Amino acid sequence: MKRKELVHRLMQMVITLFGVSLLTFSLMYLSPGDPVEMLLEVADTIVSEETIAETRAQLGLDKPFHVQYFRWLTGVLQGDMGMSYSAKMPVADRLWQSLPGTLVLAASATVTMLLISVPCGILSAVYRNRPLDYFIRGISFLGVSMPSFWVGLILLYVLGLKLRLFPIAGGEVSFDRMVLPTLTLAIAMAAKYTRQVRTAVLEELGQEYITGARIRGFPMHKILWRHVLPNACLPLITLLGLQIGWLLGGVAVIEMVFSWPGLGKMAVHAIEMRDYPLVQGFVLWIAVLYMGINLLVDISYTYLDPRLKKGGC
Amino acid sequence: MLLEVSELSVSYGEREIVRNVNLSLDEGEVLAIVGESGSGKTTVIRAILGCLPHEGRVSGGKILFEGRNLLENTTTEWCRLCGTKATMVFQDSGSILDPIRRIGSQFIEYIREHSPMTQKEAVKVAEDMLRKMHLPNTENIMKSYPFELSGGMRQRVGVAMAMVFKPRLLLADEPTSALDVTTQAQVVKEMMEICQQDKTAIIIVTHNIGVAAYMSDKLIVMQAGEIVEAGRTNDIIARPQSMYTKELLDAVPQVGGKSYVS
Repeated sequence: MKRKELVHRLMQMVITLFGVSLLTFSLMYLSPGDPVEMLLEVADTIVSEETIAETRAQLGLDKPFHVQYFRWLTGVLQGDMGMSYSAKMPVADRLWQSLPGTLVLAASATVTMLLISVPCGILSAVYRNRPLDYFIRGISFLGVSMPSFWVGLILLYVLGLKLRLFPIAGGEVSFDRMVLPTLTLAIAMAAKYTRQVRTAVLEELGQEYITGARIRGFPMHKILWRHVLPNACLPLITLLGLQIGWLLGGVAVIEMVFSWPGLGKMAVHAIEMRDYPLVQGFVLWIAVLYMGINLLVDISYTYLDPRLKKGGC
Repeated sequence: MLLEVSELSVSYGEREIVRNVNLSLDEGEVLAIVGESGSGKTTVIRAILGCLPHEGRVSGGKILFEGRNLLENTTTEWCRLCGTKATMVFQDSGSILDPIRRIGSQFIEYIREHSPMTQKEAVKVAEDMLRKMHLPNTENIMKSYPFELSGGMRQRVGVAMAMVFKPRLLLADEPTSALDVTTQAQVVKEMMEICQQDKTAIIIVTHNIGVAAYMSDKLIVMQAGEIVEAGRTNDIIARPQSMYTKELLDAVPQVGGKSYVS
């Protein structure tokens, strides 16, 4: 990717971020429920109108929409994402608190997913339309069809409650608590990714250069490792980038099922509490993340595919 | 007899594409198969080296190479035969190379797959071979990706790779059809030179009867999956027997009343 292109992309990102933040800000503003009431209700006492008005003024919620938005925006531009109402700490700190849980889970789920789907996808493609392929496709179809929260609950029930192999209660980041959510995510993602690996490998196996390699007398396993896989990687990297982006956003449902202290669970809680600044901060994180990963994927292509590097397109 | 194909039939699914093809080839001989597209000429040579696409399979006949029936080959035997004793040049040698790896790395990988050479020795052999095909700047070519070379250069690289182990048999599938006329003549000439030095037998598939006449000792004319005429090239060009061959010959452009064929 050339420098000019990169600058162009970065400018696009800024515009997109602006749009995304404006959109979520308006949606939160329009959604029913009052953050001040939510906040004070927690205390479970009857509060006077004055207290409510006072808190509202304190939080700046009595101002019109555009004033609120610009206050938030100028804050963000100066590196201040505001205070979380519910957590009573800066939004950045709150995000930072939940990030490790999500990072660890995303990493372990991605690795597990790759360990399952890459070998299965390759086998499925190489043994196309033979029993092994049908078996793998059947399993992956099953995996795609099962909702992951349900898989999570079943795993909790069987491996946690009945067999007592893993703890049921979450709440903290540790290896044994991570196994079940990792497995749940990996099953769902691997089911999809196996099919994508299969398609990508099949696509490459149909190319003329495979015939070329066979004519040059290479055995199939060498063709597979040295030629098919590197070529099949190219389309798969995009899909992997999307998967990782999805994971790093925090997987709300899974984190709720396993009460895993990650960004997803935090976001759900923030929405429930109408914690505007925290939701805004979270959405901003997701947007930056997706765009960042997409940019990384595109940059990686120019290194992995010589046709892009030298072709100048 | 180096190669003897008898009663060869090839089917794609249920459809028989090639029927009862017989041909034979001695060491160093050049055989041309001509015919319009879809006549099954490419299928014949692909069947010989066991690289029919997807659904294709040999449904009958024998292919004897140095006295052995290739149809009984195991996978390991194919790997030992292909690329050393028998090789192939395609219409676009660029597309039969891995698009994301440099030509040099693929050439060297190929040489070392079939010989105990070191990296350094293989580089030297590869560059010598490219020079033999009159390619300038061999170092640059080794560092290039297939898509960076022109059509003529790609074909020369293809021939250089195919001839590096001095094969007994070279199958050439429309090796010059994608090139302009001037380059065509050069590549054909260079290919012939190398093959004559190494006494390599060639089967060339082409729709260009001019190229066929220039190169070959023997000629086979195919139409709709069957041989319509076969024999010494000079005899066929001088006295074509079948209507189809006559039509093919008549289709050759004439300049100043003189046919390019003879």
